[in-house]
Amino acid sequence: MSKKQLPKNKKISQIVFKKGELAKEVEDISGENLFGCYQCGTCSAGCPYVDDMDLTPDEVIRYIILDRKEVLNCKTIWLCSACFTCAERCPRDINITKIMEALRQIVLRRKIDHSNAHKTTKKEREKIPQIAFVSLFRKNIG
Amino acid sequence: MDKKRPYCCRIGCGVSIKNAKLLSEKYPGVKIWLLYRDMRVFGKEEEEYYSDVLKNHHVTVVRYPGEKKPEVILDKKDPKNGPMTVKVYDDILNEELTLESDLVVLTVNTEGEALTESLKNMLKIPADSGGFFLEAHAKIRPLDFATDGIYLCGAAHYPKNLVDSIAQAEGAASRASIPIMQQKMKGEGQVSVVNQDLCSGCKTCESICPYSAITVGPLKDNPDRLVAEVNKALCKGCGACAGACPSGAIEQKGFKAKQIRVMLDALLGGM
Repeated sequence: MSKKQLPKNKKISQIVFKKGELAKEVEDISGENLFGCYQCGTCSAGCPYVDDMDLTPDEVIRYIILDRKEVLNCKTIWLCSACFTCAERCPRDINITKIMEALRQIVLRRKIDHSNAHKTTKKEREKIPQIAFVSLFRKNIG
Repeated sequence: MDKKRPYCCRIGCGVSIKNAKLLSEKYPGVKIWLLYRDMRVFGKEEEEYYSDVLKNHHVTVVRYPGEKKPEVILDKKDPKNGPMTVKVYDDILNEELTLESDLVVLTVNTEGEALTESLKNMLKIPADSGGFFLEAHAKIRPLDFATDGIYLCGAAHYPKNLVDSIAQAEGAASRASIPIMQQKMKGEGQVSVVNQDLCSGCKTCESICPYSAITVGPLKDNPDRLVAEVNKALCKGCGACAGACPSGAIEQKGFKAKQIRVMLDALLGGM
């Protein structure tokens, strides 16, 4: 099997990391030690959104450890609903939710945003629950 | 562990973790990759030690599937001292990783002592294909052999760490001290006896005895004749020599040919 195809985003691809800087930044923001992960996959097994994710949560950790910044392009970090199931179940006590948040922060702190509230159509606005917009605005404050 | 050595060497995983830790302590900030097929740190609190090294020294572990072993590619310009490239198949991401490396450390499997084979024949004790001695019984007699007076401990048994070796050595020493403290030894009743008039000195019994209890030597009165002699203290009364003797010179007490014939007659007589 070859590398997984991840969606491409020009702005995110422009983010530059020195060797080992990605893992360090994630660790700085989240306060979690990624290297304790032994890839058991419990986080992915319990994740309620794993079916829609392009990288499973354990793969996200693996990508960070292997210093692959493509991980910032993946859908996973935005699909994560911060339900803390993974953090609860991790046998190594790694808070994966915090890692997801750290990855989102890495993107957001560089003023790159995935979605724009103004661009949603009226029809979509009627369909999408209010709480989703609240989360979106909160994300922009990040 | 592979087809040639189908056993766990028990200390290899610990050794590679220790190497990673030492390297990282000596050269802080160095990137260490630990490639393994299976990781099993053997012993008490070693699991904690393992995760501690991974966390604190940022060691990246890569598990490869058994059939896809990592490849080391030497530098083309300077194969002796140049940098090396390691190609390894990552079992988690299902893709091949190429790692640039300055130093590649191989942790080799532990094998038994080279002298095992000769020692095994000298003492008549069993050993396995890996060159490790086999105890008489893994649970009931873990420190003894079938041959009396020979005890087993340490890495001669199988690869062990220091703590286990010391514990087993203490056990073996106390086993050995039992006959020494008793000073006297009770022999078996049903030992075998050689009829020296019939013995032709063919040495069949000497080679067949699993307890090394029979020696073939010259007769006292007639040094030209070789006869077998049973050491009653070593004989366990298994009867192997009595069955094997081509001259019928060896009989086992309690199981003489005459007695067995009577038993067989009684068994078959009713038919």
